[in-house]
Amino acid sequence: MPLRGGRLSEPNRTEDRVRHPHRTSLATSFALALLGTLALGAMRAPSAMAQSEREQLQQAREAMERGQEAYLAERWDEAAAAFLEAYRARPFSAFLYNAGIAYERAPNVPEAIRFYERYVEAEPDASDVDEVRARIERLRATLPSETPTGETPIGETPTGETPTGETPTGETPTGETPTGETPTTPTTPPPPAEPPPPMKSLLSVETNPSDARITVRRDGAVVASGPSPFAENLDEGDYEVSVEHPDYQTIARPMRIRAGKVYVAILEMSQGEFLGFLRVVSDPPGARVFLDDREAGSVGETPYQNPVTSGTHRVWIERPGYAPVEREIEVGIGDDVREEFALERVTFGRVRVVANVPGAMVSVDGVEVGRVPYEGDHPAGPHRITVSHDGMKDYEETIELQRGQLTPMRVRLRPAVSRSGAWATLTLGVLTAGGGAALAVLADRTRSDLDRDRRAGILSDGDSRITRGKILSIAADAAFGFAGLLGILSIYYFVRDPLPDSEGTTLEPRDWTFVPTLDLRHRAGGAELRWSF
Amino acid sequence: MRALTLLTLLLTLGVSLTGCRLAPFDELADDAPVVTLTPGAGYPQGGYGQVLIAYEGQLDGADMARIAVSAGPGTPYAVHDAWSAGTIGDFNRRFKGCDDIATDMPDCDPGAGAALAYLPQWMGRRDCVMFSAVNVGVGTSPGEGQLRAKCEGMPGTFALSRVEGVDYGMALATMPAGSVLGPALVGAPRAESVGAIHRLPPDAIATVAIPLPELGLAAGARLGTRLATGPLADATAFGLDSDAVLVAAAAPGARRVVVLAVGLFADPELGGPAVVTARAVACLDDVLVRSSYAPVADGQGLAVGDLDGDGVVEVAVGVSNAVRVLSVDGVTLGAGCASADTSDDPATTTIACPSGTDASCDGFGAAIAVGDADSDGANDLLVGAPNSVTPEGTTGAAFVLRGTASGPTTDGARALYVAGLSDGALLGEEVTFARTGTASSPRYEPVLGAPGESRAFTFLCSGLPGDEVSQGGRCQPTVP
Repeated sequence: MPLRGGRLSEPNRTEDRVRHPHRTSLATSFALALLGTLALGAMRAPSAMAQSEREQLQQAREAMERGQEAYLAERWDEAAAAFLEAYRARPFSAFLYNAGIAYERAPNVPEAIRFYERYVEAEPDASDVDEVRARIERLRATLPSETPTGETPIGETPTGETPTGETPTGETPTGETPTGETPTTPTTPPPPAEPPPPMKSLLSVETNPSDARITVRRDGAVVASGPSPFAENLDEGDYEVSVEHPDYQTIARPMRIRAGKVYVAILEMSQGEFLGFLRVVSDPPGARVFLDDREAGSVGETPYQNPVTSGTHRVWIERPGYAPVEREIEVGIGDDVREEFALERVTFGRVRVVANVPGAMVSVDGVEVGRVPYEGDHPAGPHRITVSHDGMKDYEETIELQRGQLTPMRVRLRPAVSRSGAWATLTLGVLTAGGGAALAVLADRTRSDLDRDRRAGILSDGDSRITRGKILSIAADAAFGFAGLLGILSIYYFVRDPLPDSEGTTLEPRDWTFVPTLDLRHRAGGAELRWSF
Repeated sequence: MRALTLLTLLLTLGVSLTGCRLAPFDELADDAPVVTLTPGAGYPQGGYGQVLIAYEGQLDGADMARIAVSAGPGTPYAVHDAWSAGTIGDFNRRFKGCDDIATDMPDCDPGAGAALAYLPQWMGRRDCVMFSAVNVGVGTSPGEGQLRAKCEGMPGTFALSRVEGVDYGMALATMPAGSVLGPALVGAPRAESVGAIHRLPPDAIATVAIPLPELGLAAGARLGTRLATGPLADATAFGLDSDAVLVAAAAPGARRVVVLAVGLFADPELGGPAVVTARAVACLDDVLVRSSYAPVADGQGLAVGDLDGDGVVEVAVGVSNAVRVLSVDGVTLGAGCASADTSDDPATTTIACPSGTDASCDGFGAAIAVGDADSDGANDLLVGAPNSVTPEGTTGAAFVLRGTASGPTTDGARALYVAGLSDGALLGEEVTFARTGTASSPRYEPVLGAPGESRAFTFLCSGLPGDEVSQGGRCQPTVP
């Protein structure tokens, strides 16, 4: 019994017809991805489909493929086993039907009868149920006697195993795998004269949104209908599949179903013919896209694409570190509009300074701007950054702020050497110098008095003031000398610095990103800057 | 090593600075117009400068000038170098007259330093000083006097006469050089009821009393309490034959100064050799010359010298804030001696304390010296005023009165005092002139005792016209 449809071919696929870079008209207002099983992994996964279900469907598809190949190679038992494996992956009744056909060609009439009957049980309302029952009767008629079909659980290999109960010949083929070989069942009658029917195919339809209704028609008659997700066994032939949803445009597409295939259709429904398609790209990408309502928040990031209503739209493009761009875009019905934005960086850069000492003062170009952790914007270019704190050594570094980029600095302030001793020494030195100056003044006054007396002729060489003046002079010079020593010591103490200098690390400039925060209740908004080191 | 280098640099810098700053004071000391005479360490008591003499002689054949100073009775004296071998001295103490006054075998007896006198020529030497030790009302032998002499070029002292109970040696006076009467006179105020005057004959070690004429003195006159001498060129004018010396002797008990002419006289009536004879030249009454009997507050000075350049010495006696000058030229011998008051006193010239100076006249006349301070060839008069109030306080002062042909004048007079002295220094309680300069061009520097400060001062500039303080501060070559 030949298979209807022959070898499996690539399923039809509806492609978007897009004219780039300018607006294009869509052949349809929906995005339809009707993919064959080979393209399943690349399909956009509807949100309603679980990953496990998709994998099961893939397994069923692969088993179906193997069964098809074995069937064409006339390895009937292997083909039947593959179909049943497909059934275990996804319990579509079409797999039972195809297994029955494979067993019928084996010929393994009892198994064929059994899986036909399972098919009838699973699909009592199928259009060909009467035909299948007639086939079952014909096959039973070929049996020499009533042989119970047994109950082979689905999931166990029916080939090579005898169903529970008694075999028709009283012999047990257990341990013999009939794959690739024709089982030598003594009770098996010769193949019937009527060829087996073609294998059934499977059509699975998933939509977005998921509550659409799928109708399959053949020659204008409704073959199957149901809500999404939808699966239906179909015979080989030409069908029309339509997807309907109250809020979306109805999709109707012709499909040719071939025998023994699994068709998976994922439909992205469009809301109507009045929509256009807007694509927004930016250089660099990753900019937030605001559409029409700036306060409503961004609708996505570039590259952004989405259907939009036809008409004039206002688009804001924002990316941290770049100047925002606002533009009006006209989108016609069915147009595919691509808008490109070349973003330019802002004229300022941002510096971020963190330090190991909380509250350390940050100065930019000598102007105190805040305390760590500090973050501020400054014109791009070189800036002298100084981090200082009482009791700590200043750290200073000149950095180059890049436009629209964040330059992080990590500073480790080191303790500064206490200069109190130096100040004390200096103060003592100054006081000593002052004392020396006073003594010198007194000495000079004494000398002046003595000189005056000398000129008056009343100065004696034994005048005690001479000795006192000498003492004052010596004391003054000693004070000056001591003050000088103290001064040198103070300079030494000022200069002496055994402790390591403060150190810092300036990281490479990087983009910064904003995470918008919106508080609709209070009609407030803001942005949070995130960075990482 | 670095620290040591730094310290060395600092020390060098400090020493340099100190040296630079000390130099002006050293220069001031070197240029000070007044040179201080101090007794040196270990001097037993204060009052240095109470007894003050200056003399000029020879030591080892070279001219020298010295200043001998003591603190009065009971103190050693010290000799300061004013001139040596043609060079001005440093005025430091050259030696002490007696170092072991307190030892068991003393060079100086208790009471030493009561009076000093240079011995111009004695025992072939011209560098000896005679000093007396007098127990004035104290000690085991009251009134005992001991004379000793010490020559600069010889160790130890020479013991001379010793007399008990007459305050022997209370006054000493140097005789004019080459006098045949001897090198010095010695006063014994309590001898022979009115006092006596001894002379030390040339090269003798024992003194002999000079026979005194009738002087109208009552007992207790204490003649010889203070003595001053001067040469008399014309002995015959005073009833003597030769070798006349004018002697002024204070008799504080009579408030009189007796002026004597002492010389050799051979009485034709008696025949025989000439003997030492004293003639009463004049008596000045109502004067109280300072001595151990008369406190400084009352006692006055006494000096003899040629004040008018006529070759005849005058007697200058201090009175209350004035100086009476007696010119003995032509005076009637014995004038004023008959009466105990001034009614018959000879005519004298009174020199008042000069006005217009920056020192008061308190105590003016307490000490008097005669010398040529300004090297103009005329003797000037130096008058002490130990109670004078100066810009420095009640330190005392001395006045230099320029000598003229008519005698000292107060015109251009200048008060000498010392800066930095304290009140009660009694500067000027004793004064003298110390010779500096060569014999051909001598200078006499005022020397003032300040016993209240236990020092004496030599004024290298008298302040008289032509002898003011020079730019360098001194009127003499730099003192070495």
